[in-house]
Amino acid sequence: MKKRILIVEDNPMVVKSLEFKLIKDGYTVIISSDGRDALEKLKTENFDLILTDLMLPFVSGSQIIEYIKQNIPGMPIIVLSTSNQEDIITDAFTMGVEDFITKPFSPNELSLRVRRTLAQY
Amino acid sequence: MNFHSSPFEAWPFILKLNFVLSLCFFCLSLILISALYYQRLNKNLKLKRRKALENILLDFINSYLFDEDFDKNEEVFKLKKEHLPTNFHLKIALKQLLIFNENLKGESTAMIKNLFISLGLYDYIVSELKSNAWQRKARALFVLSQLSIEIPEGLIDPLINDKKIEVRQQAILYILNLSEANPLGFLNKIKSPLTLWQQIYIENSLKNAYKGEIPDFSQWLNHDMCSVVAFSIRMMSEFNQFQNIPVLMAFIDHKEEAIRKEAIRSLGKMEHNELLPILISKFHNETQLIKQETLKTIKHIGTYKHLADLGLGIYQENNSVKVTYYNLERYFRSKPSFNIDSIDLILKSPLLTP
Amino acid sequence: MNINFHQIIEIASWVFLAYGLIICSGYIFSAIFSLIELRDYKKKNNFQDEIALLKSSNLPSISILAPAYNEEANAVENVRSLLTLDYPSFEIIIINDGSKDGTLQKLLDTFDMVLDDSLYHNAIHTEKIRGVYISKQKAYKNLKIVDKENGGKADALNAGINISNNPKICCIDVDCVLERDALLKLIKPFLDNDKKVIASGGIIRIANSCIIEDGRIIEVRLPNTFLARAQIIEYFRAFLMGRMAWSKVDGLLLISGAFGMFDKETVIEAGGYNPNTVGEDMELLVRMRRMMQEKKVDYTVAFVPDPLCWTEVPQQWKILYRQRNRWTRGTIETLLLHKKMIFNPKYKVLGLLSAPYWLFFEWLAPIIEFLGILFFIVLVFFGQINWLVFLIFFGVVYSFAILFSFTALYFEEISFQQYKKSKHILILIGTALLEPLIYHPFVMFAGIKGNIDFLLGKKSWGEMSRTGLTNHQPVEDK
Repeated sequence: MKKRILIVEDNPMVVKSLEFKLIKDGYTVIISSDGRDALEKLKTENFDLILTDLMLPFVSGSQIIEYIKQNIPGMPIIVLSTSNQEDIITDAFTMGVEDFITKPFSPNELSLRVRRTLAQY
Repeated sequence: MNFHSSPFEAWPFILKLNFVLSLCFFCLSLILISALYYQRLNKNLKLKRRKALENILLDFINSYLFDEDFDKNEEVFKLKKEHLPTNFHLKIALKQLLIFNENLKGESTAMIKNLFISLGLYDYIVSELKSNAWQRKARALFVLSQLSIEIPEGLIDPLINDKKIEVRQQAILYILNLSEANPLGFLNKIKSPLTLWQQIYIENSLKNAYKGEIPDFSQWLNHDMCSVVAFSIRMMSEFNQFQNIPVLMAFIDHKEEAIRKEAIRSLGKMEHNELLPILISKFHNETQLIKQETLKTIKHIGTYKHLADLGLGIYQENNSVKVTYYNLERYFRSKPSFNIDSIDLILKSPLLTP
Repeated sequence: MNINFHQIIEIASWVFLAYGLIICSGYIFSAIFSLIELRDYKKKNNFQDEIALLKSSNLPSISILAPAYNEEANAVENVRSLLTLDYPSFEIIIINDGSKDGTLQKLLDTFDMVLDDSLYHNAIHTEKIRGVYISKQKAYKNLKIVDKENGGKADALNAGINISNNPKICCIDVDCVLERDALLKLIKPFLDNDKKVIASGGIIRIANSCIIEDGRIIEVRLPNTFLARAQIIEYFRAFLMGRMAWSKVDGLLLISGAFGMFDKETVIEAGGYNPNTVGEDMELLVRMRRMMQEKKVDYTVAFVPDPLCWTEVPQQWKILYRQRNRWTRGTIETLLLHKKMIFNPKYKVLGLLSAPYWLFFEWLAPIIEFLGILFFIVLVFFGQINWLVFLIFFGVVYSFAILFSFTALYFEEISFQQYKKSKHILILIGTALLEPLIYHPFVMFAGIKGNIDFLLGKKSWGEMSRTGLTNHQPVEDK
């Protein structure tokens, strides 16, 4: 059974690359280009991991994280964000995300971290 | 005054003038709206083509980067021939490459650079560099430094002294990004203050593009320009130059308020605890800005004890400082690790908290 | 007697003609300056990549201040959209200005807010604060809600300033729709300037009939009423030509209350918003500028022409009438409060150009125009009208008016065109042709009534006007 990964990201280039890379890695990839759509998907479908940006249209990344922590506590979260400010990263970890990857990111490293996070669950 | 029936020649001058002006305005209006309409149609057409090409490029670049079975030479040749006939198309391709470059790092960076060369974008960008329009020169420099593409020195040198500041800035950044050592040598020569904007650019280049060793920022601490000194102080903590802490300590007595503040912030960030007693001892003689910064630093690296050391003098302070103090007092008291027994008896009741 | 009458006609004709000529040359200059400024802006900002760089940098923190009065219907949705702005570090402060509906409760419930008993320093005096609320949830940690006694928009903003924690404040109308990168674009002038920037403002765009979902523009559409479309033309003229030109000569006197960013320290030093005027947005900027000039500090006010803020404009004549009536009173109040600046060389561009411009072309223009029409009626009444002369004069004024509107449309096309379909262009051209005949006289009339109301001492906002549609004023040039 292929693992299902939800990608929440509004930059079409990043989405395409992530999709390309992760499908090649053998996952099923579902895309949301905004936070509102992501929340809808989280309510109706099951995922093994979510990869999300923090700055998103309609519903911010931290709102999504908050939602997951309250309703789907077992789901691992990896944040992929342009922010490299310490307080934003610390905030994300205190909210309970598994990993924080900053943009620009290395696709190989990302795929490694996705694999590692999934292995822990 | 009746010229209903009189011929145009017989009209008074003012009427003739107005009549001619009306005609002119109407004609100009007509020309303007035709131009407008034509441009609109044209742009819509271009937009459609651009969108289509962008999609093709997105798939192409992804395959190029991540698909091992992708026949790179063959596909690049095909793409160039079928989809990139003019400069308009090259420009779109360039933009897409830059987006990839901006979001990816590691092994992809080198491949993006290869793709840049093999698509023939190098020649395009060099021709842009030689153009007369400053914004095209600046843009070309920007692209080159983003992608770390080397070009002959002869092309860069004249641009360092270009009369447009935007071009000069980009030239400096280009040199910074591609240099092997001493990336900030230009700081010794600059004559105008570094804006925050330029500082952001420089910091970003140092962090993301520059490959050599980070320079020791203490060499600019005595620079004439206040902004350069402040920037250097900030960079010390950004790049963890703990060896500069002793030198930096002298700057909390600097005559410029802005520099004192920067020094306090930087030392605080490096969690230099010896800072606090000194700040506290001079607290009541400091400016408002520094007082606030001191309180912020106490919150960041200090304890309730430090706050209490400010003593009863806090009653003499103005309301805005008192309010910060009060909130900080509450903050420390509400912390789970707060241990009231470790504090002098006299301080067990808070100063300001009711 | 008859000779005297003719002399009066003669003199009056020349006065009106001279006034017309001055206005026309003013327009031509503003068009040229705007064009230069727009081109410069476009050239300097064709590095779109910069925005990405900014997102990851340590930028000054911003406090967004949004006063809300009886906004139950939209408040929650608008806060949600504010929460998703692209900016590394900002807080949102919603000031409930004694709403009579459920605005406060709805916000508190939705965002899980509790009373925060931190202390705040009241740098500016305001009506009583009943409480400050913060959220229990981490996702909303940047949100604060201030509940206070009703005191009007200026008072609410002052309360927000007192409570804000950040060095830059961004004052907005709560019903505005902001582009996601609005804060990034608006902060840029503060970073990118040798001089101290005390404020930066943006263009207001018209959101009527646009498709908006969850506080975000999904599709830009042209309004389906003439009234709103006429305001689009008017705003193009005011922003793309008027304010762009003023920004070129650094003579801006107004940053729309709907969307502007300020240096908090300077605002507090100047004393905050003035709750005793209906034109508080203009009055604050004038006071800040005046203070800086008097202190002889080198400073500037920036203007960002990108479309960043969308708002609904009145679609009903009655509401538009109230809005313009109020703008007129705001202008008069501000000019009277700062009459010392007018023609005072000490204030340089502001004293010699901006303030006189506002006096003659914003305050007095409708009055002079109205007198012109009265004069014309008198002439008709005495049978002194030569219809050919009238037609030619009318032709010149009308053709100039539409030429000016078309120029504004053209500027929009070469800068930030938002109405992309070619059909849109045709409809806007049609609107521009009708606007001087139908819309303009109405706005002039509202301005006249504003003058009369001012003389009668009317101070109120008008109950309807706080429905949020109407809190900003473009520099209109007619």
